[in-house]
Amino acid sequence: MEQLPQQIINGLWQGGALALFALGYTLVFGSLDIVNLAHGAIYMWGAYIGLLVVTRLGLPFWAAIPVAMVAAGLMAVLLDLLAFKPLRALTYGLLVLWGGFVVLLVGLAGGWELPTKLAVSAVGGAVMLAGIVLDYRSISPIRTQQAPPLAPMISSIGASIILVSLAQTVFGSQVSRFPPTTFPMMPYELPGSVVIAPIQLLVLGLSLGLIVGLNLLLTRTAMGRAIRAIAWSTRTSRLLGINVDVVVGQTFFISGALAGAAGALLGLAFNRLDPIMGNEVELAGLTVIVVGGMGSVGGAALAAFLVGMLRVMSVAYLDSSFRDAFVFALLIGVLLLRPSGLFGRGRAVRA
Amino acid sequence: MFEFLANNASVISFALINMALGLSIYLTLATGLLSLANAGFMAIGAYTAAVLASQAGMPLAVSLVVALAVSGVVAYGFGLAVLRLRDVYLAIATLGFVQIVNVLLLNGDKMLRGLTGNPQLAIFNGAEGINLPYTAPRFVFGLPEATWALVAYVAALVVILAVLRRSHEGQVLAAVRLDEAAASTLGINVVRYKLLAFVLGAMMAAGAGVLSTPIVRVIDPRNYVFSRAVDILAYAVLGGVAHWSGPLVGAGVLTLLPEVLRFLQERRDIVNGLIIMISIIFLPRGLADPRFWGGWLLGRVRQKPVAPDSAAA
Repeated sequence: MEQLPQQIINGLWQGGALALFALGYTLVFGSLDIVNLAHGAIYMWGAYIGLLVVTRLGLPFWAAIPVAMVAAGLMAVLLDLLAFKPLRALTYGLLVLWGGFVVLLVGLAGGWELPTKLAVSAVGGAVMLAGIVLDYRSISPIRTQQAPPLAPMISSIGASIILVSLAQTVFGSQVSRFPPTTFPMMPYELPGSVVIAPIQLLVLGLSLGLIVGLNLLLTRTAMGRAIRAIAWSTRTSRLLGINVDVVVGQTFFISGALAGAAGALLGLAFNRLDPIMGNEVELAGLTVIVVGGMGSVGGAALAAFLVGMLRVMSVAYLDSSFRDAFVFALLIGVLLLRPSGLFGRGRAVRA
Repeated sequence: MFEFLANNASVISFALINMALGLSIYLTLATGLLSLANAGFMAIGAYTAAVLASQAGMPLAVSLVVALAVSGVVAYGFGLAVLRLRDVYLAIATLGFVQIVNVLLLNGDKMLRGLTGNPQLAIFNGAEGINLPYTAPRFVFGLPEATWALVAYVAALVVILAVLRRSHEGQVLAAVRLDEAAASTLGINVVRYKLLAFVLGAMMAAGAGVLSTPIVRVIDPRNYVFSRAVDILAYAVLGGVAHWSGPLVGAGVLTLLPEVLRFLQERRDIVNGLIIMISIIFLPRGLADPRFWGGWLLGRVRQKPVAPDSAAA
């Protein structure tokens, strides 16, 4: 046990990164009841966008994080419009958006020369924009019939496949890495022969900051109150004059931005980016939102640190190949003993 | 005809395996349980068959019986513990099951070595998986015997499900899905019927795992994880769970699609994802939605009242 302080530090920063990922997950689940299995793909794109900002634009890493957050956030908004909104309320605008999306994909993945590629993609993008405007301005949807509860999850699986294979076409399936000069590597030595690398410190600090920020946003601002209102009941919110579509968009933006930050940070911390990097964190994220209590932000944050710690400890003191077994044993145990999550409120006692 | 079958034997076999898996999750979905455990039960089946074949040279039929018994017992025990969970909670608990089965398979040798004190022991081969020796398949009517076994298996599952659908038990299962509280006030032992659906579904998946071994030959633990669980769910939901034909259609489409789209090379996954999204958005009740096709093809008059409402799944 002589390494205990070091392992606690490792558990803390990995838990922090996991919290960033899981918060967006739990936010969307809590407010919209959607298990968004494409969240891991957004995280992966966040990592690649961070990489592009550093390698292609030559900007420092601190600039890459906000860019990755905004880009991943917009991607998540688009994901909602393409994958989930048509299931809630299909409009002609969304049909146009879908048409544009197919053209954009053909443009991005089609094997043409660069000018043609760009032109086709631009046309697709323009049609998509028109679709978004049309959808925003539409008054009554074509179809309001409620989709079966599993439909959004399946739709997100499709979206995840598209996002992952698009990344494979654009970036290749091989492992990409940040250049070694991206961030200072020299670890700080803390008392008791404990070391922490600057990037790990940054992950921990930023994730704590974003957790506090998200909590303030949800509890202290009008936007946060609206998000919590639609989590309670979209119908009542609408009656109270909340523009539910806009609030859902904001929720997805926040969720995607958090995933993007997690992707860029963890991409650099482990310095290992590949198109399927979202899969592993997806599972850990599911555990975190269950253990924390579905839809509970504070609970998810605490649970993320717990799961991060558990993973690090089981690798350090037991056997790395058993790591996931412990995490999932915790998961099943929590589900059986406290189905509303360790930190969940009474509302979640549907299970 | 036979030549066409022989040339496409592996695609046909994989479609059949996936159909059996789709049917295995259909039963739980039709009871209102979102269980993703079937990837784990498939692993149990495949490993039972592979271990029995490689260690004792047992024929497939014996393995099938053993695997059905083993998976039935495991499903009963695990089901008793988790079946009071609902919706996403059950889905996540069952995903945990899949992951734990996977870790146990990866570390099975290590644990057995500790128990028996024999450091050379290698039954599960950890991450490498079990390699079954290649034996030239015997072709009957254009398809290998193993594929015919799968045809028979899928047919048997269809018969079981069709009979069950019309039986008293089938009606009770539908009642549990539609309204659990109402069902229990009618004196139905909800837990018992949920267990019935869960155990039957698990055994179906284990059987599919057993019969898949002569076709895949390499029993790799990575084949039975999260992505497999999600695939199985996609078969059933894409096809629709209002009727047992749904998973057949869904599994068929999702297995054949990548083959048909082969000319797109690495871009076929994008098209694959697009088709999943478009079909779930425009046909949210699945490709084989009796209400849609009933009205479309047969005319509304001949459409029987679809037994239970297909909305909840």
